Amino acid sequence: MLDKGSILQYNIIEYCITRYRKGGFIMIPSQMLKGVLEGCILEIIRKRETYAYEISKQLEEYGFGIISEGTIYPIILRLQKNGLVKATLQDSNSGPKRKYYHLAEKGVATLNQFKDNWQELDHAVNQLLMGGQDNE
Amino acid sequence: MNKLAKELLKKNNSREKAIFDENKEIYTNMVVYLRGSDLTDYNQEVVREDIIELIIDGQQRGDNIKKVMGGRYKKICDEIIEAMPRKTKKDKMMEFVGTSLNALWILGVIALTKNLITSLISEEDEFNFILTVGDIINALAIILIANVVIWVITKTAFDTKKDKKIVSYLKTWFIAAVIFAVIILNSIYFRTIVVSISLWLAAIIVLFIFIIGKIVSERA
Repeated sequence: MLDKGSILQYNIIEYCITRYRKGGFIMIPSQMLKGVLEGCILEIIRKRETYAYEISKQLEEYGFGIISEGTIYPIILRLQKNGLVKATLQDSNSGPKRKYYHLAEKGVATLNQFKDNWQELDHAVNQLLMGGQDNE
Repeated sequence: MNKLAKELLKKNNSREKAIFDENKEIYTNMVVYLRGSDLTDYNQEVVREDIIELIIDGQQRGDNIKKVMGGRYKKICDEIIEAMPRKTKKDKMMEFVGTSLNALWILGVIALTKNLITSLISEEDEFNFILTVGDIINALAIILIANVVIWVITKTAFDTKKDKKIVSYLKTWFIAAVIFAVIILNSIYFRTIVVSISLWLAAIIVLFIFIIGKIVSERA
């Protein structure tokens, strides 16, 4: 569930990502990322079973900047504790067994909720920002 | 420590050998910091297993621990601790009882040895186990100091050393000398006898404490 702090953060992040995609690279402060990363990691894991390094690479490709596995790992632990994500040990090409994560049933529901909340928030804040000048 | 945690600890001890020397110091600091947390032994090993995996995986790509962890080691450890289930009251109680019994049998063996040597030197007919007020104060002080030392080591795992090597060496020796002096003075001045039993009976009691301590630790 989104709290008020996260709602504001989400919009700032969206703005930052838009700026990034338009070519003006800016670093996203870590405080802004807190809260929103959970939902984004759930979405990455939904797409396919994956592991920490791949998640960090995916986030980087989507414009979140460099997010180390060390940042992602506690979030995955929290998702696991809440029963949203499950882990399995699988062989890797490069040596030791690796922990792969997939969505649990509860994770699918939480992700859908996150997406709905995001859209509502996106709509609401955009309405406010776009319509702000009209009301002055 | 229960059987599952012991098995994982063994596995992790073997796996961590693959960590490069350049990454070892920070990895050790992270593990030491986690050891001082409120996580159960098993959960500490689960986290350690994951950290080892992340580091080795990074090494194979040519990344060092700084790149893998992002450099904010203490913060990451705090976030890990925050994300993991905490010890329950039962866990805490079992751990406290287990640790206390283990400390008791170790100190018991030391006291037994001391009494045996004293009896042999004094050429008494009977082997007696004598505990004075000083012995009891010393035992409590040793347990307290051990806990403080562990607490300081785990909580300062990421602190940068401000003192020069020689200053920190002298500081450690000074503290050790003071503690040692206090222990000796206790033995000299607090000689009131509290317990006086046969050495064999004392040995049986220590053995009993050892067995109970092991059983409790296995279940903790």
